[in-house]
Amino acid sequence: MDPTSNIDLILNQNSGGRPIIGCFPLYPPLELFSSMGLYPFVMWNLKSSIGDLTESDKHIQSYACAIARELVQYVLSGSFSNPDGIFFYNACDTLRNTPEILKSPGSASGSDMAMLQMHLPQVNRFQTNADDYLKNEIEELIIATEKAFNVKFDPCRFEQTVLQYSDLREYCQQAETKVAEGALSFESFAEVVMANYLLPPELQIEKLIDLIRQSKSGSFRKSPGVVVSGIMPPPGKVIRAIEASGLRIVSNDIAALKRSYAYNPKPTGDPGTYYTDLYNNRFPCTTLLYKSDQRLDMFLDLVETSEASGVIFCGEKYCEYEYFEFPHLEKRLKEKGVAILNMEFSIDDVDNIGAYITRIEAFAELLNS
Amino acid sequence: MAQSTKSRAGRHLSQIMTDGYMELHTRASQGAFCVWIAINVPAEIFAGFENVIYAVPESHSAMCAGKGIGAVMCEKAEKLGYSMDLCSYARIDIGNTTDNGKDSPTFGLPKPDLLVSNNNNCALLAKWFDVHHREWSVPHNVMDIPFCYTPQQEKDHRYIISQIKDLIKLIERLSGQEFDAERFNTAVHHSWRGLKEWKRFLHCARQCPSPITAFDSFVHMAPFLTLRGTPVMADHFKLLADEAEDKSATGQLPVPGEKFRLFWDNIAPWHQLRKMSKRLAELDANIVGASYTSCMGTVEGSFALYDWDEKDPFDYIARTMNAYMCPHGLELRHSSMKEAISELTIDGIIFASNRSCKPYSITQMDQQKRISEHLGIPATMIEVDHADVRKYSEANAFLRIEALLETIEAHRKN
Ligand code: SF4
Ligand code: SF4
Repeated sequence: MDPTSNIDLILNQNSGGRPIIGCFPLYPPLELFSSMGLYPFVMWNLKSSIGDLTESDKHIQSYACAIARELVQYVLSGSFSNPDGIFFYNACDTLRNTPEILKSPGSASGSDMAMLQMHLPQVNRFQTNADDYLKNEIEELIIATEKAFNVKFDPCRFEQTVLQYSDLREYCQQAETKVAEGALSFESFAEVVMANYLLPPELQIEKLIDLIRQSKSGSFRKSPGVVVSGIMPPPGKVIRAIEASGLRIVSNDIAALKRSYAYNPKPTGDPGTYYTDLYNNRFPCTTLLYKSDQRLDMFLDLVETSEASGVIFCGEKYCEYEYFEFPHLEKRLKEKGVAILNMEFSIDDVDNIGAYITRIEAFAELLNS
Repeated sequence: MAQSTKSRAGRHLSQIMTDGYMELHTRASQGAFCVWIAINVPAEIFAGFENVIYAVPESHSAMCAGKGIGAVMCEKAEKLGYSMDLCSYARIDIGNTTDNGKDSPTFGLPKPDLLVSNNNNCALLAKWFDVHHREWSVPHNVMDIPFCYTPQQEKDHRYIISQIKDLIKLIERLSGQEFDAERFNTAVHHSWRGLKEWKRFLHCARQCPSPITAFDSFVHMAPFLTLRGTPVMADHFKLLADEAEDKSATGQLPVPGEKFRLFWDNIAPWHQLRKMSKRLAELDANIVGASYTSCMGTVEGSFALYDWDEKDPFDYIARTMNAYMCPHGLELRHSSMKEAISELTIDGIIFASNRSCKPYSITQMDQQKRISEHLGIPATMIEVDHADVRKYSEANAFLRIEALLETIEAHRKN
C-alpha cells in the first residue's frame, strides 16, 4: 500500500461518513467527540505516512520536535484529505503555536476546517481548585462542537461511549500485563496500540482481544526486566533489538501507551465530572505540569513494582518536557541501583538504527552480567 | 555608534542593579522569605509583605550572558546531563546552582523558600523550576495562565485572580507574615508610574533619526524584572525617558547617519549587545524597536500601554500578566507588530530564530511571510541563541542582515 495514502484510507474506511476530527496533543476528550457522532483520532504516529517534511519546513523550524513537524506536514502538505476539524488543548510551547499555522491563510488546509479548543488547567490542584474551570471548558467545548458539526450531545450516549473506552483501557492493561509476563512481545503490543489510534473504539477492542489471544501460555524465562519511558514507543526496529537482546519490557512509561490508558475514571453521563476525574487522576505525564510530584513518585514506584533492573529513556529530541526530567530521574534511579540507557530519537532516527542496536546490546550485557 | 561611556541613566542603572542584588543577599541572610519567580509573575504581590523578597532567575541568566559567561554556566548544567537543546536561561541558572554562583556577577541568588513559575511565557519554565523543587525540596507553585489566541477572556481573568489570591494565602502560610493590601496597592502604582515612563522612553524612537536604539531598551528593562513595584524602578524609567528626550532635543544620536530603521523580534542577543549595535551603526542601521521590550505594560494585540483606571490592583496585574510576546498567538503578535511598523516607520525586520526559545520562535516563519507579503516590509531571519554564544555565528547573521539592508535599498529605488 502506498504509505502516504495509509491514513486517509484507514480513516475513510472506518469513519462511516462521520466528521473526522484530528486531535492534539496527547490526551484529548476522545469519548466526548465519539459520543457526539464524530470520528476523533490523535494526530501522532504520522511518521510512516507523511514521506518528507518539505511543507513543514516552510512553516516551523527544524528545532521543533518530530511530532510537531510531522503534524504540520500532515495538515499542510495537501497530500491527505484534511480532517473536518481539529481539536487542540494547551500543550507544550511548540504545539500551542501550531494551530494558527495549520489554519494559515492560503494554506492547503483551507479555511473550512473547524478549530475546537480547550484549556486544560495546569495549576497545582492542592493550591487552586480548577475543577469548575475545567467543567466550564468542557461545557463550552460541547457547545462549540454542536455548532461546528451540527450534532447533539446526549448524556446516555456519552455514558455508553465512556464504558466502551473503559473496556478499551482494560484491554490495554491486560495486554500490557501479558507483555510484562513475557507472553507477548512489546513490539506487537506497541504496534497494535499505536495503530489503534486511527480506529474506532470497537475495532480497537477487537484488535486487542486478538492480540491477547496470541499470547503464549506457560512459564517464561526470567530475563532481566526493563522499563521504557518516553513520549512515543521507540521505532519497531529498536524494540525488536531490545527484545532480541534478551531484555523483557516489564512495564512502560510511554505517553502514547501507559500514560494514556493507565487510569480508568468512573463511568458517568456527566462529562464535566468524568473529565475532572480523568484529568486530575490520570497517570502522571511530563506534560501535565500539575502532576509533577506524583509523577516522580509513580515513576519510581513503577520501576520498583515491576522489578525492572534497568530503564531505557527514549527521548524525543527537542522535547523540553521530557529532557528537563531525565537528569533527576537518572540520579534517583542510580541511587536505587537501577541501570539506565538514554536514547534520543529525532526525525531521521531510522537512518541510524545500527548505533542504537549496538548500545542496546551493550546495555543488555550489563544487565545480564 | 554605541556609547562607549555610560550615560547618566546607564550609571544609575548599574547603581540600582548592584544595590538591588546586594539588598537581596543581605535581606536573605537576615531571614527574609525568598521567592524565586518567573518574569511575568506579578512581583508587586511580594511588596504586600513586610519581609518577603524575590529573585528572578531569568534576569540573572540574562545578566550572566551579557557579561559573557553564559556558555560557561550552560556547560555546568550540561555536565549534569541537561541537554544542550534546553533553553539557555535554564541551563545558565541550573549551572549557576552547581557551585553556588561561583562565576556569577551577583554571587548567584539567595536560596529560595518558594518557587513560583507560570506557563504563559513558556511551559518549560515550570519544568525548569521543578528541577530546583526536586533537588532542594522547596515548594513550587505553578501559575496557570491560559495562552491567548484572542485577547484575555473574562473567565481566564477570573481564574488568574483566584490563583493570585491563593498564592498570597500560600505565602502567608509559609512565611508566617500577613499580606497588607495597601502596600501591594502602592507597589502596583509604582509599577504603573514606571511603565508610563517606559513608554515615554520607547516613544522617542518614533523620531527619525532615533535618539535611542532597541539595545538601550534591552539593557534598561532589567529594573522592571528585578525591582518591580518599587519607586526606584519608576524613578529610573523617568530618568531614562528624560535623558532620551534630552538627546532628541539636542541631536545626540546613537546612529547619526541612520539610513535603515529596523525592528527586532525575539529576546535580546545578550552576548552580542555591544558588538551587534556597533556593527549595525557602521552600516547606518538602527534597530529602533523590539517586540521583546515594546510589550512591557501592554496587553495582547497591541504595544500601546494598557490603560489602567487605577482602581483595582488585582484586576490590573491579572489583566497584564500576558504582557510579553510569548503568551500570544500568531494573529495577536501580528497585530502588535503591524502597529509598531507603522508607528516607528520601520524599513525592515530581523526575526531572530532562537532555538533556545521555541515559544518565541515557532510562528516566526509564518509571521515573516505575512509581514513581507501583506505589509510589503522586507524581513530576514537569523539564528541567535539569546544566551548561549556557542549557538550564534556573527558571520552568518550579518550576511543576512546586510542582504536585508540591500533589499531595503532596492525597495526604495522601486
Ligand atoms: S514530544 Fe514534547 S515537544 Fe513534541 S509535541 Fe510532544 S510534548 Fe511537545
Ligand atoms: S524558553 Fe523562552 S520564554 Fe521560556 S524561559 Fe527560555 S527564554 Fe524564557
